[in-house]
Amino acid sequence: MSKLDLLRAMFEYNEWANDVILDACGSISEEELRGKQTISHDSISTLLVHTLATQIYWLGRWRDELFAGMPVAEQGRALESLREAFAPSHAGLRKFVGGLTDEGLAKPTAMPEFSERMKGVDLPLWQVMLQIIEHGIHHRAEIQSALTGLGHPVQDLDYIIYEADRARA
Amino acid sequence: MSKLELVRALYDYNEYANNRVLETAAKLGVDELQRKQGASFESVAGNLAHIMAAQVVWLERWRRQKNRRPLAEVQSVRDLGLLREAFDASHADLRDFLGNLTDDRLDAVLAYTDSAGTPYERVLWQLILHVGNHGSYHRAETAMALTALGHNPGDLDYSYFEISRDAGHVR
Repeated sequence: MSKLDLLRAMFEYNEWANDVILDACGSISEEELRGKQTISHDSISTLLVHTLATQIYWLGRWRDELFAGMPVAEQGRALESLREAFAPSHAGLRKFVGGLTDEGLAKPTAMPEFSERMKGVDLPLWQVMLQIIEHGIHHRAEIQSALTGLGHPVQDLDYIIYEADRARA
Repeated sequence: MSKLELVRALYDYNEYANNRVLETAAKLGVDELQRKQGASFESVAGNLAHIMAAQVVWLERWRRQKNRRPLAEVQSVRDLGLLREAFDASHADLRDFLGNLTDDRLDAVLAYTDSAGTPYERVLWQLILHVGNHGSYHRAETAMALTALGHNPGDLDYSYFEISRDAGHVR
């Protein structure tokens, strides 16, 4: 097993955990989804958009594509529209990660210019990919906490729970 | 390219991020540290103790196939000084373990028992990824609680850690 296999496992986990969170968001109203929360991005909705936008932005960079713009939680169908936007992002990530080689993981990747701390810095592709995974874990934890606060606790998102579910399937 | 490189990077980051959160927690009074805030383990201290205890207990399972003390006992500590000491020891132990790990061992199935004595079998790399991700998850909750108390620990992104490390700002 290689580093690439580990990253593939982590991206599969990322997709599973995002889907668990999106399912859990189905238990709350759109008003609650958009309601102010003491999390890093105001509301569950904006945090979902941020998590998704990060996936879309970086996948585009890895494929040398222009960023098509921020995903939008549409009025009146916020969760549905976000689900519709997460699905192609996950499919795109699956395809990209599936087509990678171990050698490709070392490719220097320029960090975005919009951040002073990252300007002029290149990281190997695998480190940027790991950043996306850790970023997702961090923000899902915030969303899970907000959902619990709204009276809708979410199932455990532990990596070993995911692996156990997969082994049973 | 070795998967060990990724696993070690994940745990170097884990240590860096834990220390960042501990430094921020040091700005809290004892009451604030133990204030119930709706995090998984109720308070900043409770969450930190859970992250530390998971590291300690899982490393014992990786080394000896079982943990000597139950998770609940290891995570009962609430004093920040004791937590800091326990984290320092855990980070040193993890560094030692990961430094001596091989790719073959990572792929091997580990038979272990949990705190209740229930037996499990799982590939070692899955357990190691779990503990790294577990820390990221509970640090996010802890960061939320710290921010609510007026002490935002700042960005804990992995990429910032790597950039700081490249610039020589991280051990």
